[in-house]
Amino acid sequence: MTRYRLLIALLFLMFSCKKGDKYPDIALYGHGANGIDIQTAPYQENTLEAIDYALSFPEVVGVELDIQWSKEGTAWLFHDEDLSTQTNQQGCIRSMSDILLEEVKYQGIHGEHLPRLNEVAEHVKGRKVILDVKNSYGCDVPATSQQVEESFLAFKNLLENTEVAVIVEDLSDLSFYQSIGWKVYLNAYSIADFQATVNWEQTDGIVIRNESVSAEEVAEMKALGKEVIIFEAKAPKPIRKALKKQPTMFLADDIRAALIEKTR
Amino acid sequence: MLRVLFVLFLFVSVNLSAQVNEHGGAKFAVAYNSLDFFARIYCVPPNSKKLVVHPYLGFGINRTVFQQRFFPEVGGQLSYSINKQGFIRIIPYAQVSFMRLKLTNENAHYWENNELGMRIEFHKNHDYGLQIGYMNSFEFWSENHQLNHASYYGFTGGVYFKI
Repeated sequence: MTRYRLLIALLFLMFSCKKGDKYPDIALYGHGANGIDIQTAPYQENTLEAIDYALSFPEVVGVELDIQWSKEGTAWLFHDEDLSTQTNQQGCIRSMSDILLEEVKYQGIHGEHLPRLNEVAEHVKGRKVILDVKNSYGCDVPATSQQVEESFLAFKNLLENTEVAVIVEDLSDLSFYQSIGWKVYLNAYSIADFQATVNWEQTDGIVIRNESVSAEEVAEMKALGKEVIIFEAKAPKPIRKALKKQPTMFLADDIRAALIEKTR
Repeated sequence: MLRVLFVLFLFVSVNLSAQVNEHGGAKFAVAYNSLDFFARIYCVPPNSKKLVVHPYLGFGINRTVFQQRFFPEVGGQLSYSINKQGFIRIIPYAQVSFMRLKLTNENAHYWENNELGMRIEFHKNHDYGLQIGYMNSFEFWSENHQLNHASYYGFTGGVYFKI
């Protein structure tokens, strides 16, 4: 009986303490909404169901979504280059028509459909969205600047109290994004690559893998007035390391693990 | 880490002394499903018949050990032993369990899991076995006083030995 009491007391001591936010300055976003290639996520990334799930966590500030364009120039949400990796179709988004893409369903028991960007507006009211512009896959001719701008302007017109930012591979459309009031982050392999890019000073910051940046570099960037978004940390230990670097934002794949690490 | 190992030791020893007897006993299992790796202690009732209920307690190893956030599980397994004798025994089972994970001060998530599967037991000097199953899980949480839910499906697998 004494051992039972001791056990209960120990468990109480270990797990009952208050869990305050250790990193209140780090904004938590859902990477691909509820995580990319993550077993613990209930839904496929970049789907409306995943967005609703991620934003049901009050501590999650917003979602990061991957955008590609169809043959007609309509913006769709999808991460990979080829649909065959995750859906019942083959081919890349850019070489497919909107009618075909409407029939696409994700593999898996939920069978989520591929959403257009415009469908997202209703699901992100009052929250924040980061759009990762994936227009450089080599499977077809990239969408034109006009197609990109038209689709984003249409999306912007549908939004209510939603703050939007974009992640880009190059800064060719920088002035357009700034003209519509969206923040621009450059996806870079390293801080050196970022600073070697023409006009990097005009961006709002950098998006970088967890393993490619140190805490000192994050601090240097923030001292220069740039925001730092860290991604690619899925297990608890890498998440902990990423948060200790004090980035401006963290794109979480395992939202629950990230929340626990934030409040440990 | 040491704290967790110490509690784990106490947990196992308390259960062992409480359950092992001439006829029944306990099984220790490590099982994987899409939510975590789980360490479980199953009760093996004395004078087991073909159809047996094994109540069990467990916890998610990743969350509890590596994130120090207790992820408890309580459940029961209904199993039917097709052959009660012999070195290899084939035992289909149905399992129901409940879990709770506190994420923040204001936010806890709950799961109700249903699992169907097959266990292969090897009985000689030591009893051990493998089990695979298919799980359907419902996650529940409240947001602004509204109950939400999400569902998961996936394969599960595990190993166990009788202690």
